[in-house]
Formats: sequence, structure tokens, C-alpha cells
Amino acid sequence: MEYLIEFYPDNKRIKINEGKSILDASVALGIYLTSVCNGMGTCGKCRVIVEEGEVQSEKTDLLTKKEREENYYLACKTYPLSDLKVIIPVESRLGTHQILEHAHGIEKDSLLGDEAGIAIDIGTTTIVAYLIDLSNNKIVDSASGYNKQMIHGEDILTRIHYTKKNGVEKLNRLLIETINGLIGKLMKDREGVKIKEIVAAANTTMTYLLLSKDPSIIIKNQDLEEFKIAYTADPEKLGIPCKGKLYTLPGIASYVGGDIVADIISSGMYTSEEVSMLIDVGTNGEIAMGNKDWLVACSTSAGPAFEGGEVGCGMRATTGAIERIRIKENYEVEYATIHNDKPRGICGSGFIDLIAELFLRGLVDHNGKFSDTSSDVSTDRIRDGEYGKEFIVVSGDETATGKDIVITEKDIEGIMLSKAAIYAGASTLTKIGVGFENLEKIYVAGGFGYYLNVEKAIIMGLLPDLPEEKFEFIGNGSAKGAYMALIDEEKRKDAENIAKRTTYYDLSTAKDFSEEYMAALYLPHRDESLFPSVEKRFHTV
Amino acid sequence: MLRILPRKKISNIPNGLMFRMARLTALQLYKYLPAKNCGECGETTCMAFAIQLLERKKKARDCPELTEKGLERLIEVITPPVRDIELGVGENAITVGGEEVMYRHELRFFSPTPFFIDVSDLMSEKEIKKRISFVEKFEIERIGVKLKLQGISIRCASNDPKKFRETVQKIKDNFSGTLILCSFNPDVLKAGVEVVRDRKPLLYAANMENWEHVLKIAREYDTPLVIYSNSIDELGTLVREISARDFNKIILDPGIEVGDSGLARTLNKLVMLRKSALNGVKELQYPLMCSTTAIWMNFNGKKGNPGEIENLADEEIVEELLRERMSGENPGNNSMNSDTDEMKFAYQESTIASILLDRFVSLLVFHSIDVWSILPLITLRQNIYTDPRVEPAVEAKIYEIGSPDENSPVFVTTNFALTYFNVSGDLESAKISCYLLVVDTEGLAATVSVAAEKITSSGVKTALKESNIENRVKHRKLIIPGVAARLKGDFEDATGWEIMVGPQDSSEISNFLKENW
Repeated sequence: MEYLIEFYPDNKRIKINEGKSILDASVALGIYLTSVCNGMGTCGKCRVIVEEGEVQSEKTDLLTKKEREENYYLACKTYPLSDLKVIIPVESRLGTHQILEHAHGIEKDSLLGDEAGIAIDIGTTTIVAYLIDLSNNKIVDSASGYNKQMIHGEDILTRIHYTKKNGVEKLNRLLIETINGLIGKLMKDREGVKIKEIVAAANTTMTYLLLSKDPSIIIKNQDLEEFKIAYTADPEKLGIPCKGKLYTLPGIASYVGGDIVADIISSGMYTSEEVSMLIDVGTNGEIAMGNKDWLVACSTSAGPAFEGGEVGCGMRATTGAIERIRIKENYEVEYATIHNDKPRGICGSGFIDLIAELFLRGLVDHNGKFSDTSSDVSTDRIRDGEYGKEFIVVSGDETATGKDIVITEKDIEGIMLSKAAIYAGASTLTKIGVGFENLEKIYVAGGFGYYLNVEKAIIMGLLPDLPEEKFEFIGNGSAKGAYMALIDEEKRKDAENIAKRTTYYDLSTAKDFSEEYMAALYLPHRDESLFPSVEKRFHTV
Repeated sequence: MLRILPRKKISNIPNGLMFRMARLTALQLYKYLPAKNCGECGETTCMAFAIQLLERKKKARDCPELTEKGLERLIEVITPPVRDIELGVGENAITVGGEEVMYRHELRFFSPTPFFIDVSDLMSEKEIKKRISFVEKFEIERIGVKLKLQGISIRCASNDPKKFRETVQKIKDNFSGTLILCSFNPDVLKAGVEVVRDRKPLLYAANMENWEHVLKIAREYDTPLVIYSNSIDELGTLVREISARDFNKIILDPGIEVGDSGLARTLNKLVMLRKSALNGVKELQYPLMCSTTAIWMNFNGKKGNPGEIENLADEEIVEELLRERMSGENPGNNSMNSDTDEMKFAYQESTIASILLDRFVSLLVFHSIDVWSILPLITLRQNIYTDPRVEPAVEAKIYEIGSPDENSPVFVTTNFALTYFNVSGDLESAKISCYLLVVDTEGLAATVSVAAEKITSSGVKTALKESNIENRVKHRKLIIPGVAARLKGDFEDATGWEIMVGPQDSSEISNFLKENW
């Protein structure tokens, strides 16, 4: 008897024979769980959540009653009785899975009073929560985890389609469970502390699913007044054990949600005389531009390449992901992985380094194709693979899997499509009347932005060619914005104002976008004069 | 008393390299708006309104918060370098001009050139009725758009106000569309415009001699006015005088000259006029019109046959001809030489008109009423005046690729033109005989239409039914785009056909068929 085991958030699946444990399945897939006792069932580290399916599990004292209720199991001593959907929580992963919990400028402290607030950033993939001491408005703790909805699809559209067939309840419940899990973690050992208020920043779909509202309207209409509503709800009615109130930051449009309003709040760009831009890099790249008088925002579909999806050797920014790459003059590759583990794949920031370096070394051309072997570039790192030409980044003897980590032309193309979507979205917005060169600042947000190498991002044409000091990373601006709105009622008014006065710029009908997009499908751009610093490098190299 | 103006040289006409005026941005317009985000205009923010203004989807007047002065300033800013002039009233109102660029690919051309059919007051009643009915019935559907003729241009060939008035009355009674009244004789124009003042006809034309009188009529009846001269300097001089009298509803006719060098000169003039407008030569920032009726001037053989038309290159002769056209001679009457000659003229008119359409002519008066001579022009006009930034759609129906039979595969794709041409091109180059079922996805590409639910099971079901493909193939297998894989079940349930998920990229269809068909 064989069972199909699906792991989330990795979105990997494998069939295993009856009698094999969940841990065996994860090892076979190259997903590494913390297991101090090496599968003896004694350390209690390899916890997983079985979200769907039936299992048989050996009794253990290492899980609390509450955890058992939440379907936590020890992977090493749990055996499938049916096909399974399994979520691997952050803490069970070997090393720490990198979820960007911290926004810049926030420091942890200890709780003084007994009244607390929760600021929460609800992403499609990850959810981050802060615990705030309301006596001094300091963040005292944070927690993060994967959105359990992931078992019903990785992206927003799939989730919305899921609700059409199965209703909103299931996804709502999974989201509430995830949130409760995080709140549970934050409130652990804090008896007597009362949560007075929760402020959530989420994309429009997540806001709807949180409030049990039917999200199907989101795919049909981009620009509706109801997306701009800031909701106040009773958390207990939603199933969150908290006797306070819950406030959701208002959004701007279907694909520019409260998380972006939170980004804008935390950047402070809406109070400035000067015009700034905000780029939130993710599967959906959201871009906002403006100042204290006006704001415009758009959403561009970048695809999952920067998050490791749809690219052969791509992976999320987890342990073993290559995040920094340098190609030396003799075409040898220097790299650094997250937690210095053996490399398993390449994450978004690694891809940016890699493509910029390949381009700088003349290994790939303006079109993202490997240069002709007849040219003066010669290295045995470029070879003909199953999918055409490929570049060997790390050979199998150094990797965790024993397989070569390679990048193919198709992979490069996929990443270029993503970067072009983001750059084109940004350059289309500048058509409003403020050129890149006239921007005061460009704020880069999103879990990905934290690790971004600006210089390399410019070389590959993801970000405009501006001096490095123009860029400012606000990290998880969404969580920070939620926090700011929690401790300061004025900021909520600001958020509602921002939602109302921000003009949604629909790129799907914008006349300039497709032209901008086509022009951005090159390294760094079809119009090289837009990237003078990159051009200059070529003259000096 | 008529005042004959001295010809003034327009000194700032650019030649050679052009300095293009920078396009306005939404932010520039925003600065003229009240920034209240009141929503009265139908947009949620003033910035959104500014964007719509720029796209010409809103008018300055749609903002109720502007003061009179503010509105005036805004209008001044948004007035395009080639002004937009409105003719006619109500649903027949036509905007002429309003252009911002020299070349379509720089932005787009905004106002499709209206076509007016030439009618003269010396034509027989039968001929006039024939022409009216031609204009009214002409309708061709292309890429989902109904293409039509816009109006009738009534020419006074008799130079008799009474006769003209009768003709205008007759046409008014039988035709509800927009009109142009043509004469250099102010009395004739006045007689005509009195009859159709409520239609706001276009008056043709003021020239160096009659301009004061014609201007008075245009002002009195509040109609737009054509200024005619075959000299750019004269056009400029007239505009300067007329606009100084606070009249701006002007269209310019630089005349056309035919024959080899004459045509070249006409085109040069048109290019110069547009360049001047875009470079801020105030006197020339008005839309251009041409009448190819002049080509028929020597139809009766008086000026030789069309083969010797290069004679017409001489400016004097053209002047004379144009004057003749407006003042008495009767081209295109029923005393034509032969069908063959008429065809030659219609052919030549069509050819020349096509060149004019390519060279910034914003209004065209056309004499021939042969469908074959107008059809290519109407098509050309549509091509020139569509927005190059918006991808067009193709008709949703079943297409045959190669020579399919009852065993050939059936593919489903979207009606986004680019998708259609990619898929059909890939199929053709792979020499695959098949049926391509194009489903109406509102012009969206495959991935987008899946995401936005524009390709749905009911849409596919309807398309299947309407295509009658059931009776053309024996099998019941439908190959859908790889990106629509998620919808496989839906399609199967709705259609009852077996759904096969094709490749993500149509270039892989050939391999896909090798393995799966």
C-alpha cells in the first residue's frame, strides 16, 4: 500500500510505502527536520501538523494536549493510514526557516503591564505576529508561521477558486487556526495578560477570508469602494480567543491590500513633501508612488520566481539556499548559503546575484542567453543539459542532494519575466509625471527585500539605476505598519485616508505597461542608457 | 468692404529636425485640479481624473469644483497641439483633430478622419438621393467595429444662393447627419446655413478675399469654419486675423495638387503643417482637411485625360480648378465619358486619399461612391486610428488550420489577437491540420483569461455549440491550453467532451500531438 504525502509550505509530494514514517518521507524529499534523537521519538523536535488525512501515531508525552488538538505529531513516530497533507512548522525545520519577522527599527523588550495588543501581518504564505506591551507600546515578542491555507493552493487565485467550490469556512478556519497558533505562542507563560486589541494588515483576499467574506468579487473587480473599508470586528466571533476588538487596515484595490497601506504607513512616504516610491517584491509585486498630496498604486504579477517557484533549482529562502553568489574571473563560483548549510538550491536573492554575475562576466548576453561558445568566453561550467544549455553553479559533490545545482536558459528567462514585471510596473507609474531620478527615496519592502543586494538588482534591471543611498529597506513594512496602527489611533485615520486618496492604477489596461514590460525583458533593459552605471562597468571590465 | 491681407511669412516653420513637445503628464494636470477628491466627476480621486483627462475619457468640464478661471487654465493646458474641433450636434457630433504626435507609434492618433461624401447643387435629384442613401446605408463590420461614413458635403456649383438653399433643404429633409456647406460666396453660405443652423454644419471656406464676411456668418450661426489657401503663409495670415477676433473653431484646407510633383508638394505641405503644429506654431495648430473631389475636376475631358494630370501641378491651374469647383463647373455629373474613365478617376481618388490619410488629414471629402474605392480607405482609417497600445481581438469562432478532416484535433484558445496569431502560426508552421476553436475572452490572453475567469466552461460550451464542430469531427476530444489545466474538470462537466490538457506553450503542440494524439 502506498500513500501520497504532501508537504507544505514546500509544496513537495512523495509516495511512500505503508509502514514508513512521515520523517522518512521528508528525508526522501530532501526536507530536513530537526531530529536530535535521530528518529527515536525522544527529542520531540520533529513536530509536524497533519492537516488532512489519517495517521497512526505512537503515544508521546512530548506534545501537550493543546498541541495534539491542533493535530501536531512527531514525524518520526507517525505513520500514514491515508494520503496526507502535512505542514512543517518553522520551528521543526533544521535551522530556522527565514520568515522576515522583523521590520527595521523594532527592538524586542520585556512585558511590563498586563494589557497587550497584537499586530499581525497576514500574508498568503507567511503570517507574522507581534505582541505589544500597551503600557509602553513596545514590541515584546514576535512569532511567525506558515499560513495553513497553503494546503489548498499556494497563490491567491487558487484559494479564491477553492472557496467557490468549498465555501469560505474552511479557509477561514485554517487562517484563524494559524493566527491562534501564533497568539498561543506569544501568550505562552504570560498568564494574566489580556489582549485588548488586534490590528491586522493583510492583502485584500486574506482580509476577506479572515472576516469570512466571500472573496470571489476580488477577481472580478479591481477597483471597488468596498476594498477601501477598514473593518472592526469582534475577535471572539471570528474564533480568536480575545476579548477586545480586531481592526483590519483598509486596502486600495483588489490586488493592493491593507498590507500595502501598512507599508506606506511604515515608510512615512505619505507625509513627505518629496515624491517617493515603494516596491513590495513578492509573487504579486505592489508598487506605490506619491507624497503628502497624492498617491498612486499598482499591482504587477511577478510570478513566484523570486520566491523560488517555477525555477528548476529555485527554493524558498530556507536552510541550504544559496543567497549570495560571486563568479570569479576564472569563472569559479563563490557562494554563501543560509546557515552555511550544504547547498540545496538557490533562493531569490541568490538568483539576482547569479544573473548579475553571469551577465557581468559575459557568460550570458543582453537577452539572457548563454553566450556563443565560439566567443572568447570558455568554461566547462556551461554544458548542454536536458533543457538546453545550462550553467553549473555548484557541482554535485558539494551539494546536499548530491545533484548538480544548475541554472538553465529557461530558468533565466523565468526570472527575467519576473524582474521585468516589477521594473515595468514601477516605470509605468513614473509616467504619472515623476521620473525615477526625481524620487526622493525608493522603499523596498517584502520578506524578500530584506536580503536584496541593491547593486546586483540594478545590474539585472530589477531596480532602477539610482545611487544606493536612494534605496531604503523597510523589511516587513506590513507588520510594522500594523504595529504603528495598533499603538497610534491617528495612524488608523491616516491609513483610511491613504486608502481613500490613493489612486489605483490598473496596469492590465494601462497603455504603457506592455511596452515597458517588453523593454524590460533584457539585461538590464532594452534601453541601456537607462542603466548608465551598468554600461560603465562594461567599459571598465 | 473686403480687406485684402498682405501675405505674411510664417517665420517659425520648422524644417528638418523636429523638436517634439513633451507630452503632458497626469501630475502636471493634477496641479490644475482642486485636489479635493470629491468624487463628483465619477472618479474617486483627482489623480484618477487627471489620468482619465489625459486619456481623453473625461473632459475638463466634468470637474464641478473648478472655478471658471481654473477651468479656462486647465483647458488651455490640455488643448492638444492640433486643436480638437467639434462639428455637428448630438449623436452625430464629430471631433476632428485633437492630435498630439507626428507618428502613431509615439502615442496614438485620437480622432478618426470623418469621411464626407460630395454632393453638388447641380446634381440631379436622383443622384443626390442616391448619394444620401449611400452614406446612410454604408456600414462595414471589421474586427468587431462598425465602420461608417460620417456625413455629406454640399457644394454650391451653381453659385446661386437660391438654388443652393433648395438643395440644402432637400438634403436636410432626407438626411439627419452632419453637413459641410461649400462655397467661397458668403451669400451662398448664408443661404445654406440658415436652413440647417441647428445642425451646426462646417462652413467651407474663408479665403484671402472673403474671410471677413464668412467669419461673420460663422460667428452668427456659431459654426466651425474652414480656412482655405494653398499657401501656408496665407493660411497662417488668415488664422492670425481670425483667431485675433476670438474665433478658434478652425479647420485648415491647404488644397491638393495632383500629378507627380504636385502630389509631392501637397504631402510636403501637410507634413510641414503638422510639424509646425507640434512645434508650437500657434497659427497652424488646427486640424487639416482635404477634398479629393478636385481630382474629378477634369473628368469631362476639358483639362485633358487623367494621364496628363501632371499639368495640374501648376499652382495657378489648381487655384483655378478649385475655384471652378466651388463656383460653377460641375464635375461628376451624369455626363460622364464612359465607365472606364470613371473607374480610372475613382481609382485615382482612392489612391490619393489613402496617401492623404497617412499624412495627417483629419477630415476628408470624397467624391466617388463606389464601394470598392471607399472600402480600402475605411479599412486604412481603422488601422491608423486604433490605439497601438491596445492589442486587438480576433473573432471568436472556429478556424480551420491546414485541411482538417473528421479525425483532426480540436484546439481551444482565446480571442486575444496575439494569442490567436501565435497559436495558429505555430500550428501552421508545424503543418498540423486541425480546428482552432477561438473562445471570446474579451481579448485577454490565455493566462489572464484563466485568472480573470474570462475563459469559462459555459463560454467553451457555447463556442462548441455555435461552431457546430460536433458534426465536423467524429471524436469528442478537446485540447485546452496548458495554462487552463485547472479548468479541465469544469470543461468536461459542462461539455461532455473529453478534455486533454495541451502544452503551456503552443510551440510544443507538435510534440504534444506525437505523444498524445
